Amino acid sequence: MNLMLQKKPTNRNPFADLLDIQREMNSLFDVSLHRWGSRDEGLLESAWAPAIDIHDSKDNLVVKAELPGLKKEDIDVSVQNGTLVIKGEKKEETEKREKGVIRTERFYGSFHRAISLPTAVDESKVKAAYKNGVLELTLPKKEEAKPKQIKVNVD
Amino acid sequence: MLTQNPESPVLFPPVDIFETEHEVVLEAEMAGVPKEGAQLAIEGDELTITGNTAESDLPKEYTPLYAERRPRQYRRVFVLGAEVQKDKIRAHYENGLLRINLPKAEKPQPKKIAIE
Repeated sequence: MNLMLQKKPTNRNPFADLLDIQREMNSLFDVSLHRWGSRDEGLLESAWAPAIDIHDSKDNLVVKAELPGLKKEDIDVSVQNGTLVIKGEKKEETEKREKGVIRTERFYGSFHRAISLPTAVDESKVKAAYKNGVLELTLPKKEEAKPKQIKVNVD
Repeated sequence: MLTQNPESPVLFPPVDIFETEHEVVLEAEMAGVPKEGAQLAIEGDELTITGNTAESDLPKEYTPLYAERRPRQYRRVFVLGAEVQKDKIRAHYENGLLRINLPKAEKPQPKKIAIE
């Protein structure tokens, strides 16, 4: 059977072709480096790990993790002893693929990412939101971890 | 041709394409793209999907400590086969996943002619 969908043949401009190749290579590195290059756990622990960002403010740490196409209930977040663990499983819905698969580029299976937090956070007040395929965690800092201004009086 | 902004590179979203009895289904992962940023266009037999990731919605007091994610654009073009009913294509975007349902045209049944 013919493929019903295929990648568009590149246009005849050779420079555009080169740019396309470059873009493909970039996206390949983009996917592979952050998924395997910066893992905290051994290779056998899980098949992939989401890319993350950490942002810092006076009162909070915000961690964002890229988890497209998941269900909220398939994501598990825990904080213990200063380590944040994001794990879960992306399930492949194989029963819908009754007539065959044309292309599979998405990752499936379990994921796991452990992050040592740079400051002490209040583990009981961590908030999580999942929007547009991005998990956003707000971790309030403990009082003693917040920056304090110390006034020095010079005589 | 696409203009490439070094600040926000154009990437191919990873896709799965599979067939069911009556449809071809395309699923594209575009994490960080808000619903209004995901777009689908059909021109002739070309299906183009695009998405721009949202700007950071964090207040200014936040400073980045560590960053693996970056702003980016997604863009990918597919050629539709003649079997796809273009006027019946449906798309749904949820949780960073764009799902496009492409209904297949019914194959004309062979007409049986009775021999007299």
